[in-house]
Amino acid sequence: MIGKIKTQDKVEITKEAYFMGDIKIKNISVEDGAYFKGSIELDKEPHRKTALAGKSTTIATTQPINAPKTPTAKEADKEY
Amino acid sequence: MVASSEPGNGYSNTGPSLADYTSMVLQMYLETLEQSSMAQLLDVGTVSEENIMYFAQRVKRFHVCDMFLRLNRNQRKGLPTKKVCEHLDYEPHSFDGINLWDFIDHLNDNEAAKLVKHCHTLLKPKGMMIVISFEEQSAPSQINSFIVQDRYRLTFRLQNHLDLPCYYRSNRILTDMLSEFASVKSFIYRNGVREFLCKRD
Repeated sequence: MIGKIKTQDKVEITKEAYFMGDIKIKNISVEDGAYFKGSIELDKEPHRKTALAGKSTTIATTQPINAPKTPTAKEADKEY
Repeated sequence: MVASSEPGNGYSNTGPSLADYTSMVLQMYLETLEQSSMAQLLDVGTVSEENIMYFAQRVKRFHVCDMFLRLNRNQRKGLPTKKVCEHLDYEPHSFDGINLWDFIDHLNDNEAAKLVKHCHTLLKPKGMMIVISFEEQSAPSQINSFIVQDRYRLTFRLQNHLDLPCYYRSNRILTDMLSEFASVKSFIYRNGVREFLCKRD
């Protein structure tokens, strides 16, 4: 699949998938070995109740893609 | 100057298992990237759900192009290695950060140098890149993903589907290879991981 995905649902990309494109989502599942090239933007905006009620959108197009606390210091044996 | 190195036949079968560790370089890298609300980050793989969620939460847009898979596929098809870098067909100055991980360990000197140079053009001025390379005696027996856990903890996950050559390089050769960049910080860990954080001027 080549395109764009925008959804409030979870996107799952399996290792059998071939996906190139841009994704805007809240959550994503990607299996190791999935053939994926693209970008992910997390939808960090809080959603209103109407959106959480189950309405989701998935948009797929065939447009071409133009994509461009503190750790312990002792774990690093040596800084060079 | 890049000295020649012979490819290993995969990693040594007697290599020790990898111990998790807290990445000092990852912390410095992310603390810098998180200062911008518009940061664009490129990861050359391997792709993992954990890393996608981890980095995508910290930058505006997280780009993924799994070069490990592409190199693996090229090798299975008998295609020249040089073709693999053509997949990074982004515009110059596109990224604030590049996660190169240990990908250069799987390229010969010529192709590794080309990749590093290409990454230099892909970075914006002041953009940063993480490069990791294993010491030969500590390298695992098979290809592993670097998986970011909470904070800056890195664990490893075996990638059985990947069968790639390995090239071991001295610190001097690696730093020569990265000489086009300004060096920000380098660390070597007890588990044999060497981390380099470098920056485009």
